[in-house]
Order: sequence, then structure tokens, then C-alpha cells
Amino acid sequence: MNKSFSYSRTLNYIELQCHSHYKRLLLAGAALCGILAFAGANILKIGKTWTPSHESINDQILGVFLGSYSILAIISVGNAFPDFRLKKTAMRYLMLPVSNWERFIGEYFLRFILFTLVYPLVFYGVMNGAIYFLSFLKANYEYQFYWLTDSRIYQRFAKDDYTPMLLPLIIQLVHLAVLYLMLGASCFGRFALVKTLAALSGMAAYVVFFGVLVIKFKMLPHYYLGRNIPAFLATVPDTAKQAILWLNIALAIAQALLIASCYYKLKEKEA
Amino acid sequence: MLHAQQLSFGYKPKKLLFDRLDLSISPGSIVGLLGKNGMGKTTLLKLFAGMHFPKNGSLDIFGERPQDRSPHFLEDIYFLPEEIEAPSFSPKTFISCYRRFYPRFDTELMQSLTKEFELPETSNISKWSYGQKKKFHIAFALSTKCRLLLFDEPTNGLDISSKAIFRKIMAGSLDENQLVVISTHQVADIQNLIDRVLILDSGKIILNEELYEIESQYHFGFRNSLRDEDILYAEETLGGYKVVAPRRDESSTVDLELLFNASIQNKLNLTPQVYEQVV
Repeated sequence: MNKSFSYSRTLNYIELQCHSHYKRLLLAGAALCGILAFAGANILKIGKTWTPSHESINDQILGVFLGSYSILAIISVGNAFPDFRLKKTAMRYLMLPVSNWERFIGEYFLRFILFTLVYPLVFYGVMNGAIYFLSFLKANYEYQFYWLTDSRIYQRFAKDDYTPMLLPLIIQLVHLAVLYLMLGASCFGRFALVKTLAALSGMAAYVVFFGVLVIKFKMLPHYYLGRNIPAFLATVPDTAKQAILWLNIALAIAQALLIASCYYKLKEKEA
Repeated sequence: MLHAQQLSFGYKPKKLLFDRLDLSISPGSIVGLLGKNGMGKTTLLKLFAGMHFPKNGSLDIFGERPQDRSPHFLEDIYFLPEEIEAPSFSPKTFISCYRRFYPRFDTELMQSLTKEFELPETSNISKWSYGQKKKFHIAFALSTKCRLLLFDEPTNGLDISSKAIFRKIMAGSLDENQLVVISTHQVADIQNLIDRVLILDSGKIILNEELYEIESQYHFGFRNSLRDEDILYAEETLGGYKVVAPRRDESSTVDLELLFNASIQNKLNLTPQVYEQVV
């Protein structure tokens, strides 16, 4: 038997988690559908009145989709490992015969992969419901809702030369955020998401202070003025492509570090 | 099966709860873990379960270190804490979800124990009374057929008839390769159940002995007066004294409460069984 990972154990874990938290999932799902239907109906109604173009309405819907996906993904992933929140549930959770990798992969699948797969379907269903509702109210209301697979949505991005290069970077950034939230969920007990976001704000403030104030105003002028660039700065990329490549590598390393940190945090919880 | 050698543990670095414990317990027995409040009974169970890690020394259960917490090890161990938590499941869902983690789970036994404890079959477990939840978890623990069962105050919250059923099913549901450690203050509940007693005091195991061994050495009885010179320990009770004396001819059943009090006061000459190095 594999000590670190077993496919069947991970599936059992996922099923158990779905059963354990199904009430919360149903409530959250119902609330989500209600909010989306309200927002969708309003956008479609306002869009029809003020901007007759379909593209414009679809832009707004795409904005709602991306915005709501981001917020809900943060909530979903930030609340990973919910059984750590209470001492009583934590004990049962820790005595489950699963490894930390299986816990991590199970939560990652449930909180991010499954959510990412299901959410567009929910969104599509609710938006079409909203269109149907408006058509029902206004007999002459006709509207064609573009779906994410519709190439027309991506046409404007295709014109941009940087899009193909930026796409992996965007995916990595999103994934980095997911892993950071999972690390926060494994670190903190109660109010894990709030504490994780507060920690992020703290780090952001530090980066702004150190990066902008110190490096930009104190260090860099020195190098530029002297025109005597140190050796290490020669490796700094001078083209956009190189910069993106460097960023991709840095993000990949950061993700690996976050996964390792999350594993060791889970290990730490055991004792 | 369960070997602890020079095991030390403490919640604070300089204050050890256990100091160089040596312990060896074989399978096929029900062990009563006794000790005063704060002596570390629950902590010792958690060490066995791999929920605390030893500071020094070694702990070996089925040839594995509990602190490694491998899924293989955890499949063979069931820890029933004193404060139980029940998810919002029906018993059927609970069994179906959790049984998969225990390869030797005996569904038939679970059904018969549920019936024996007169537990409802359909309603939500989280809505049950504390005693019902406890009975359900005891039944589930026994049905897992784990080789090591750790029960922390299992009879707390059980009604009088359920305590009798608990003793009956404990005696009847265990296999020869299983080891059960029951930590409790309710010595009457385990009086005729356990076959080994382990007493913790001041960071040490002061007694780790089979009950038949204790019975072969000591007599637990009642005296009207304390004129006998060979009495080792006595407690005043209604109309006389409960006493521990060296056994001569007459046999007696071990009075756990008396044994505990006598051991704590160091009145018995039983030495803790030490870890035997297996070569």
C-alpha cells in the first residue's frame, strides 16, 4: 500500500467531505443562484434599455462572471480544511486514515477544480434563466447569450500580441493565489480566510514600502546616476518576453514553496 | 505489540508529564488505564494514537511509530475521545462514509450492536442525546475491528442499562489480536471487564499488571476490625474495613478502587512491568 497517496482513499475523503458539508454547500449554492439571477436580470434589463449592442451586454456578463468567480473561488478555497476550525471536529479529522497529501489533494480538488468546473455551468444556467424570465415579462425581448466557448468573446484578446504570452502568467498567478489561500486555511483555525487576507494585506504593504519607497527612491537612482550597473543587474531581462519568462519561473518556484509549506503546516497540525 | 521505551512527554519543554516511561502490552487484552485527574491518561492515549509526539524515547505500535501517522497505521487504530462530535448524518450515511477507511469493518456486527444499544436507524445523529451518540461511536469503534482501540471515558453519559450492555458487548465483540485501552474514572464500569490494569501517577506507571496476577498475590476483602497484622491497606467503610492483604488460601476478585488507592499510596509490592527488549 502506498503510504503517501492512494487514489481510492482520496476519493473516499472527497465523498466524506461532500457529505459532511452538504448543507453548507446547498445553502451557499442557493444564495449564489439568487444573487446571480438578480444581477443577471438587472444587467440584461439595463443593457437592453441603455446599450442596444449585444457585445456590450455580453461584456458586462463576462465581467460579472469573472468577478463573481474570483470572489467565490476565494471564499471556497479560503475555507478549505473546515474540520480544523473546531477542536472536536479536528480530532476526528486527524484520526481519519488518510495522508496529508490526500487531504491536500482532496481539498484542492473540491475547493478549486470542482468549483471551477461547476461554477460556469451554474452561471450559464442562471443567466439563461434570467433571460427566460425577462422574455416572459417582455414579450418582445430577444437576447442571445454568448457562452464562454463562443469565439467572439476572445476575438478582442486575439488581436493583442501579448495575450498568448500572458496567459500562462495569468494562470500561474491565479494558481498561486489558490495555493496561498490553501496555505492560509491550513495555518489558521478560526476565521482562516479573514486572517489569510489580512496577512496578504500586510505583505502587500511591506512590498509597497520596501519595493517602491526603498528600492525605487533610494537604491535605483544610485545605480542609474553612476551608470555603474552591478553584475547581478546584468541578468535582469531587458525585453518583455524575457521578463515574462522570468516571472513564470519565479511563480512556478513560489507555487512549489507554497505546496511544501501547506504540507508541513498540515503535518504540524497533527501534533 | 505496544512498546514504549524511555518515553518522555510534556506540554511545556521543562515540565514533563511522563518521564522515561517503559511499557509493554500484548494484544488480546482489555487494559484499564487509571490515574488521578491531570496525571496524563488522555495524553497517553493521544500519544498511542499519534496525536502527540514523544519528546524523548520511543513508542512502537504494530512495528510502526505512531507519530509517523501513516494511513496504514491509522486504519488499525480507533480513538474514541471523551468529548465526541457527531456530524449531521443519518447512521446509515455515517457508516457508509466512514467504514471505507477501515478495511476490516464488520457491517453485521455494527447492525447487531446498534440493535443491542437500541439506537434509532433513521434520524440524524447530531440530534441524538449525548449517551446515544456515545453508544453509536462505541458500536462503530468495535465494528472497525481495529487492532488497537483507545477509549477515553467511554461510559460517561451512558445510562445504567447501557453500561451493562457496554460490558457485555465489549467482552463479546473483540478478537484475539485486538488490544483495548480504556481510560476511566468509573472503575465500577470496567470492574469485570478488564484483564490488565495500568495506573499512572506523577509521570510514572506505578502499576502494570494482569488482574489474575494481582489476584494470585493479594486478597481483597472485608474485615470488621484491623486486628490482622498482615493487612497492607485498609479503607474504612460502613460497618468495618475494606482491606488488601497478602493472599493465603481464599480467592477474591480485585476491587479496582481499593487497588487504585493502595497503589497510589504505595502500599503494594507490585512493581511496574518493564519493557522487555525483544532480541
